[in-house]
Amino acid sequence: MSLVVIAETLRRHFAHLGYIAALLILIVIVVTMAAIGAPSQAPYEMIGLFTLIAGCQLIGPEFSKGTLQLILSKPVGRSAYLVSRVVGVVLAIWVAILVMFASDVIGRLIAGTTISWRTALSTMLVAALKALLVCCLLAFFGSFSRSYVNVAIYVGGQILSSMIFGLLTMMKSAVSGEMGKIGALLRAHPGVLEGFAAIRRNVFPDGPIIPFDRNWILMMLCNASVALLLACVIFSRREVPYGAD
Amino acid sequence: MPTNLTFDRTKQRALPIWLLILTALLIIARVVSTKYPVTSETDVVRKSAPSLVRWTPISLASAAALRSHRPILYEFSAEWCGPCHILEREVFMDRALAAKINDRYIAVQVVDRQREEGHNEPAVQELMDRYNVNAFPTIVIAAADGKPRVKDVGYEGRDQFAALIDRVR
Repeated sequence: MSLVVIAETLRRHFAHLGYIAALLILIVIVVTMAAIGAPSQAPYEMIGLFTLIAGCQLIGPEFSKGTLQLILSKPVGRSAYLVSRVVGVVLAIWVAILVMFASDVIGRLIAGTTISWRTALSTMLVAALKALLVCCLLAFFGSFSRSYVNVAIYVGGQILSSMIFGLLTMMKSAVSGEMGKIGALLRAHPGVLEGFAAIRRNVFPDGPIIPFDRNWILMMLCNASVALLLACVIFSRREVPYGAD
Repeated sequence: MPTNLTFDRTKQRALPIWLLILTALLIIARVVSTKYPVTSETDVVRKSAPSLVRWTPISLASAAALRSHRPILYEFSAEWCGPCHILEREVFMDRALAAKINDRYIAVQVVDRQREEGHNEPAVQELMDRYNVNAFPTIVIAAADGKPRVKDVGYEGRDQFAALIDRVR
């Protein structure tokens, strides 16, 4: 890993007007929601969007603008560069999550509403691990695409997988017509739907049922690590021409 | 003259060994860990102290409500829903609140199985459609004829729930 790349990535985020504005908006929303006694989980939904915006710029735009070609002409390892970029972006998002957590606690202290430490801490952990996985997936999708295509693949995959799963679930209960044939096939081979559901659960996971679920935490870390490794494998073999998009 | 372009390009494309080892270790840990599923706190509490609320089956709820002149309290939940487990632990296993619910309402637990089984039982689905339930937990307090009086989505804590059941008399 390159500390220079991590520091530069962090500096670029912290000095970015968009990052500062988003953070201020998040603080206002979190404090307001905490003051009215809303559940701690609610504001963290916004971190998903924050992660997508920060994560989509991991590698694609640098490739398209030609910055990457310049960086890779220097003696810097491709994988080290990619991993450092991911670490930098993840740290920037984790800072935002920490600020949200602090705002939640301060908001509740000011308003005198009860603080459920267990819920607040487990929610923060879930948001942090989700951000890590999404960034690693965006790095993976970005390792073989250009510009902001990585985020398009991620969002498209999420929507499509959800639609296909819903459709297959509906088809499974169909008993007549063409749908009935597919339904019979799905009933005869339940592994198809189970396998599809498992892929969805791993790539686009929901939060854990049990707070601090060890298996869920391991799943997130493991999947993030695999995605990052695959990103490194593809990125290290990728041709980086001098022409931009 | 040597330039900065003379560095070893094969080294530039090398994979980080530590990431390979970390990934392998995490995969092994995950495989081993799945053999020991984590038991939810609710399951542990359920075994030692089951829900103190007397749940009435869906099919008997209307008749029971008519007979006792009490409204029906529907609790819509799902096994995968975290806040539903907290609600169960903090409210339905609380002696005072459970007594209040048993005293004032015909309590009905409606568990969604859409995610696990792909569909719900017709009676469950009919109730979910009737009260337009699309999030969990949802509490609906309805008259014996099914007319809804209160609908509350989400769980915001024991005190808020206590206030909710006090609101309808």
